[in-house]
Amino acid sequence: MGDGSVAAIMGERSYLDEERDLVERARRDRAAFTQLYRRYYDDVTSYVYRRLGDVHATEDVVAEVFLAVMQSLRRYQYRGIPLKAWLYRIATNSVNRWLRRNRRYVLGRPVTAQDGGEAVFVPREREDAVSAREAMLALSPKHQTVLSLHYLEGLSVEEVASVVGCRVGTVKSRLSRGRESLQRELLRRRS
Amino acid sequence: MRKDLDPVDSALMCLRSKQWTGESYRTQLEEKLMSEFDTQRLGYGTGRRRTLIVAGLAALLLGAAAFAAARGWFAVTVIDGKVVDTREITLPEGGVATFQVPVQGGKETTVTVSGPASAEGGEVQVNVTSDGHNANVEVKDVKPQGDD
Repeated sequence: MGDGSVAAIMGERSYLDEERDLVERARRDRAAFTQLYRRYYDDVTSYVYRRLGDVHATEDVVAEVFLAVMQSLRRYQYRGIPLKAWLYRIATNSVNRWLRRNRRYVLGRPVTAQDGGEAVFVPREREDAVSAREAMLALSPKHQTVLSLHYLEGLSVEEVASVVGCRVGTVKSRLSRGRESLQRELLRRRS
Repeated sequence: MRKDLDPVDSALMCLRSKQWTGESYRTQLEEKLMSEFDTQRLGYGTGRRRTLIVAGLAALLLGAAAFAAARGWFAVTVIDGKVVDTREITLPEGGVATFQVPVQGGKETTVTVSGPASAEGGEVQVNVTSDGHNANVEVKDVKPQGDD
């Protein structure tokens, strides 16, 4: 999904069946849950990292994501959609929640730790990358979500719709407006 | 001639190129998850066992209550040495069972059986009355069902 091979993956029934079997076993078998965790850790972590851009924040959010996965796995219902889409949904919710809690969070600048702790300096990236991330983080979570899933993770519009739980038309509209907002933010930072 | 990339596409491409270069999975998180998994399983198992025990006790109590409250008995009514009725009756302990039995002339008489009825079976002390009939009415055999 994240590497642009979603259609190929979705076309492979055996893969989905195997995935379904893994979910069933992971509900009651810790070894199977470990297998699930190890299989999807990289995808989930890459997505969260692209959204947040900070290693420590990413590790915190990823831990939150997999704990949520464990708690929700019993309620998970297979509907022919790859498990990764469901994981992206949980990760998206966790990232957006984290962003709401940390509104002042800006990469590439000194960030004052929460609870009055000492200032933490996030490693400086290349200017354009910093600018791009700052501009992205300035967008509303719903615009960040669709832009990230579609352009960064390579999901199709239909797949993004299944992850965020809305219509394809809504996703297209958010993508369009998200791009406009991102352009405005980039221009504002350059001026 | 070099064509400049759209600034939005350029920014998105830049972000997309950002790869997670950390571990393929975190052992520390895995251990935490396994601990949480065991806790949840234990909680689920304990809760399930507790539910089953409660359900079992409830079924037992309901069964006992039903047995005590509505115990089935088998009654044979004899009038003038002749068996006129055989039936199952419900006779709560200390309670009363009433039923109709046929008598001569196509008539019926009401037979009332009152306890106490012993749950042990065998000899059961009952009082029998009948209305409007002077024949010798007795309930010859009253015992728990299944006790032969």
